[in-house]
Amino acid sequence: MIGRDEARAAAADTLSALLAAHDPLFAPWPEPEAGAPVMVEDLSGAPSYWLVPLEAKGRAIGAARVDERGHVMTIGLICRTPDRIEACPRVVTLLTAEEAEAAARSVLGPGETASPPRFVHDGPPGREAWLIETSRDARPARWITVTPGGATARPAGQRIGDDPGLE
Amino acid sequence: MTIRRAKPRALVERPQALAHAQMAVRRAWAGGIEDMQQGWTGVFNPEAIIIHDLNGEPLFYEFSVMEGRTETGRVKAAASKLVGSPVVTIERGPRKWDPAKATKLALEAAKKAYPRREAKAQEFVCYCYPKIGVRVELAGEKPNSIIVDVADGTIVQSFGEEEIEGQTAYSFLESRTESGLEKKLRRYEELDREIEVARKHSKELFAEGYTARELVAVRSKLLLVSDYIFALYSSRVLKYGPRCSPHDCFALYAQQTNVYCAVATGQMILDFHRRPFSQDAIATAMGTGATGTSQAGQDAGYISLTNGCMDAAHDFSANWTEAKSEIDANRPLKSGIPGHARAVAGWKQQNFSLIGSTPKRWLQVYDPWPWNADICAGGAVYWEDWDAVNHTNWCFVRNRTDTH
Repeated sequence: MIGRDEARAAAADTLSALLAAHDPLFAPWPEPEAGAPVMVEDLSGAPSYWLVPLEAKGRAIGAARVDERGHVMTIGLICRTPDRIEACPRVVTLLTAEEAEAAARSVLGPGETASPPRFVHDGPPGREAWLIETSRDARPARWITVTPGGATARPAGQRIGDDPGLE
Repeated sequence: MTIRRAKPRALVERPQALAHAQMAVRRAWAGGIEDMQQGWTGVFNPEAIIIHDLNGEPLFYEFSVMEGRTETGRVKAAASKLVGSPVVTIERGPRKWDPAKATKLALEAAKKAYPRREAKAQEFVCYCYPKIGVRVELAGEKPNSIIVDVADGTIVQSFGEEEIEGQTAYSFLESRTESGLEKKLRRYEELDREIEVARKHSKELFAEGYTARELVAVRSKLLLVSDYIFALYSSRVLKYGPRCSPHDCFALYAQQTNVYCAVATGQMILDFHRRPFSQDAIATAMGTGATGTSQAGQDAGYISLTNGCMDAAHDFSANWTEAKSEIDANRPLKSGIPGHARAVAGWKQQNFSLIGSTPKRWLQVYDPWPWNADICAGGAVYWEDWDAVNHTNWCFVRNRTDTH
């Protein structure tokens, strides 16, 4: 897996090429910059790829996903217009670990304990969320995933995409 | 054997060929062409190898790109306007053959084959594009000269483009018709004007080299806009009213629950076709359950929500051409990846790539993730590298053309 600096440089290079080519997707944001990458793990905890924020006006207005070899898989916008900059996320993970932990706490059942949040892709790369694994009586109980939409829970170990016919 | 021409008919002077080589490479780097990001910002060695046509006319200049003492790449630029394109090939890495060794090898081969005749190496020739040989002149009776391949030192035995493919020599220029050459000449002259535009607006393109600091500043200056410019990329996104005053037209909606990806994708696609429905209505029509939506359910939902006026069908081959054709027909489509659905509303591809590599391609993805009850607050739009993703299916949603 490439390091944080290489991931940031790969994202910055691709961004600068898109801006130089006047890509219409980035037209509302003339001067975003690549910020500090965040590692995205898979559900089992293995490093999967880097999520590099594209920052403007102190907000994460977009992101690039950079794989383990430094290849930019995706690059684009989370926030499509600067008109409502206050609605753009402050962090590329959309929520901080503390916010995710607090959201998960509100859905914990009696006797259920929560592990620290991990930033994962819940399903294929791109479906990022905070994952809080819970246990009860020292046994895995549930997986709670948290995004700005809220917290949802399912039995521990149940993976998105296991059923090939469902999306 | 081919005729020999005493004088070149449409010679490109070396400095002009060098300028074309610099412009092609540096614009591709500045434009973010995938394979051009490493090793292409170095110095061009102006002392090119000249490669002749079998008819004796200079055909190509091969320039080396150097980073320090390392040869990082080579560019073959036309030495004759009759080639048609100012830059013919761009190749990564050092030359696989050494000119001095190739010449020595050629002379040895000539002396072995014709021990009693005086042999003199004359020039490098492109004897069967892209193969290169050394022409060795022999004193005395016929043959007057032979061609020896630079890579393996074998003597080329057969001549004429009608011969079987392999080690056959034919003239790159003489194998073209007069009208074909005339077209190539006109094309070259048109592209030659690009250099003049570039010299006015992007002088930095022709700098000897750049410092690391200059590279950061110079990037945007290298991408000049001109009427003659060869576009680095082709792209297309969905348009509303694609006839007179079209504008980009596709709206991103977040999925309202963590399992509504296919539903929100359906909402984006149906909205584009001016058929607005809430996500709950779409979920009901698609039979969405607690863990998601089946592909058959998606098809049925599109059809029932449009009272059979639209057809929906899944395609599990999911190749690039199909997605591109759908966008070219100004229709969005659903892209399935394992366990997730998104809408696709645009494509982009490189018009330029290194020999042996595939041009990069991207899809413009409207991803309803991250989910949010407020459909205007979540989701993301991005360019996705076609090769970075496991595409499992497309769903094409089209107006029915038959009566129903």
